[in-house]
Amino acid sequence: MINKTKNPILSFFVKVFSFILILAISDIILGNILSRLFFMQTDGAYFRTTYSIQNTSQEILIFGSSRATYHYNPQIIEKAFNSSCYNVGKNASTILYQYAILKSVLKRYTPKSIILDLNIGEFEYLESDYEKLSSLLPYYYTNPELKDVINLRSKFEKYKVLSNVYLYNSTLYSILRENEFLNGNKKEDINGFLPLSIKYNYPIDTLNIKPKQHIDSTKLHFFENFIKDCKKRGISLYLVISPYYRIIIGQDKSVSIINEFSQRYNIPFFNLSQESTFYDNNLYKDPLHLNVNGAEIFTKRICDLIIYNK
Amino acid sequence: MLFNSIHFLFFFIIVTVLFFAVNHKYRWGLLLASSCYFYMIFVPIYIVILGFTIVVDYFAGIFIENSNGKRRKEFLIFSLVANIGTLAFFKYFNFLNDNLTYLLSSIGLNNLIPDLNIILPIGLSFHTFQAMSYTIEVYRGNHKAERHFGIYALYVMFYPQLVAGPIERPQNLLHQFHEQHQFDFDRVVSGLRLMLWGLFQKLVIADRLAIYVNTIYNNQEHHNGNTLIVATLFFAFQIYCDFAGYSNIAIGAAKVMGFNLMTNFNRPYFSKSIHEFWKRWHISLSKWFQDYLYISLGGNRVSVPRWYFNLFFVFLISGLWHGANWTYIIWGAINGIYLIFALILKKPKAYVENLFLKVLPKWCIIGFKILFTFVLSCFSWIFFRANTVNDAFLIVKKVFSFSGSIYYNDFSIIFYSVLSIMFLIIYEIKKEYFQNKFQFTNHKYFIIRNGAYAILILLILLLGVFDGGEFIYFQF
Repeated sequence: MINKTKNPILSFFVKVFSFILILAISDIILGNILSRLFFMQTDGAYFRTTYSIQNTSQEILIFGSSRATYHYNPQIIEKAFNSSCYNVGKNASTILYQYAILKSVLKRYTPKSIILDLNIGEFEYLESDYEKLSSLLPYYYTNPELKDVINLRSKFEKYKVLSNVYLYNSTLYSILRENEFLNGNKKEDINGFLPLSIKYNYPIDTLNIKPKQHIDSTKLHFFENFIKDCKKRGISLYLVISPYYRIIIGQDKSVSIINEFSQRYNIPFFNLSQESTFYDNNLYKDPLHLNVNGAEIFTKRICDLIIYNK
Repeated sequence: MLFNSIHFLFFFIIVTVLFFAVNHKYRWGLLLASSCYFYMIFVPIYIVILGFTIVVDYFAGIFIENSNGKRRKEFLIFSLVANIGTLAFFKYFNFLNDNLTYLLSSIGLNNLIPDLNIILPIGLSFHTFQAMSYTIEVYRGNHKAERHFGIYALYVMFYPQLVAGPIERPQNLLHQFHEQHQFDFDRVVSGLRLMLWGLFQKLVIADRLAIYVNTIYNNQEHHNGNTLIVATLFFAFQIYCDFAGYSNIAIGAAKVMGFNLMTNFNRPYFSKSIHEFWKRWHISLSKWFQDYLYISLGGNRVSVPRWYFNLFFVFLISGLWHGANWTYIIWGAINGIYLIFALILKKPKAYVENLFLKVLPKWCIIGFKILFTFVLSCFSWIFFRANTVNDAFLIVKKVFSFSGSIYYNDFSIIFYSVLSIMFLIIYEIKKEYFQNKFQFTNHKYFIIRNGAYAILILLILLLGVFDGGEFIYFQF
């Protein structure tokens, strides 16, 4: 029938329409298969994100980047406060991701306390921080509260997510590796905490803070919303900068901002980035991350600080 | 505007639909206006530079055609000086100045000339060379000067090949702007198919490999020999897919509207010698250098030492064309040396090959030659990719130690990289050796044909890197 159409442009559009139909059907079928497999993961970063967004029910939650994931042992916190605890930290995440997770958590329940681990240079503008929000794409339709955050990736994101397959972009390896039928029920984390066993064997280095820092107003806005939402729901919020195996030279704008917000909203802020107790290479895996020994000492120290502050 | 952006998708659809909707006599205007828009998305002000060279070369072409003898040559020289001068000023000023500073400081003097605080106009080397080919061809009498200013401007600015080629010739492209192009379904499909494969090369292969390559090459001091070998292998595929991907999108986009651009890549990693490699890699640039520099220097119709010098010099300039950095110059020099050695060793090589042919099957010899050529090109890519000459030499030193375990912070990066290279190898083997077999995208059944396109698109959506950014060759 198509070949009988005389007008070549009309014939072209008929064929294009047929192709789009084939593409759309394939996209729906493959997208659904991927969705099923994605949410069948039993371990790994995506599993932990899914758990953080859809399943957490613990009284204490720890938010932050890889430095939260590797630094806070929930078992120590559970013992210290006699409360359940989960570490929702995620590698290479920023306040943009953390606020998105908070929104999902608050939609379901209100935790008693939240520890938000922040970094030196936390609010600096970095384009790649927006790209990293791709880790939230699989939840675009399952958790609509995340849409606004995911759409920050680009002005065309809302069109890209029309594809069911795009939602699972770059997740194939994780789907194959961390799936129940391939991986069994192996767990590498302890309530979201990932212990690092390696010891760092180099002397302490220095980090010179850039004199000109471009602060990202969106990140700042998200940070303020994080604080306000916690306040509104009566959650005890603690801001922390965990230790670095680095001597930091200069004044970081982000640290000044955290200080200012901590005073404005009357929230405890523990800046342990330069605490001399942690100037010990035996406690680190690399200059940014404590190993399991360092994490144990640090978690206990944070528990003491919170108890003392109460 | 980047070919791998949603912005371009909308732009391409609108321009193509309008192109077929408007009358032929207005099409040049439409294409010129859209090409200006396409270029101005990068840095708007740089269109002035492009405008300057267009005006100079347009009038130079007419004056060359209308003059005789010495005057003719003077107009050509004027045009070449304007083009090369613009290129030299924007691309090489800081490089030359930095080298001058280094030289003066070595004898205890200060260089008082400050560096220019400018960004290199995007694709400057490409459109400058295309413009130069026009005045040279008019001078040689191979092409008539274009009288229609708009069409000449379009020849330089035609958006599909404006920023990264293929570097076209007036004989191939200019007349196509005068011809009326009818909507041709098969040609449109063929163009879209090329664009789709180009997009796959860029998003699924090049940008995926770039993640590992950039991690390793930008911190080469922390990595061992085997890791650097893997990163170099990945870079060989990255640069190929980045540039061939761009060329395919460019050729495809032009083809949809009925324009034929020259082939720029012909599966170069199946080359059996370096000589063949340069006939398959960046063909439009190799041809440019061959026609306008190598032959002008005398080509191979000179004494043997002079012939070798010509080859070496052309590749040195080719290296410099790629970028204002010693790494590119050394890369060019290495390739020049390869070619000279290939010529010197031609007879012994043929003798050894014949000996091996007596004991080994032919496919084995061919396989070895392909592998050897690939290894040679990979070695030269080290200099092309390294951030500095010092880095390049350190990498070479480490590579030849063949030591250490391969670094990966996240194994998924290696997984996706290897997967993407496998896609490429399967596709290229099919194209090279099974041209008329496994015709999925040319299958007689509509459902198989379109199913193959759909799978390609879904693979891009599933495995593509959508935050990868610019094409490597934009910087040239």
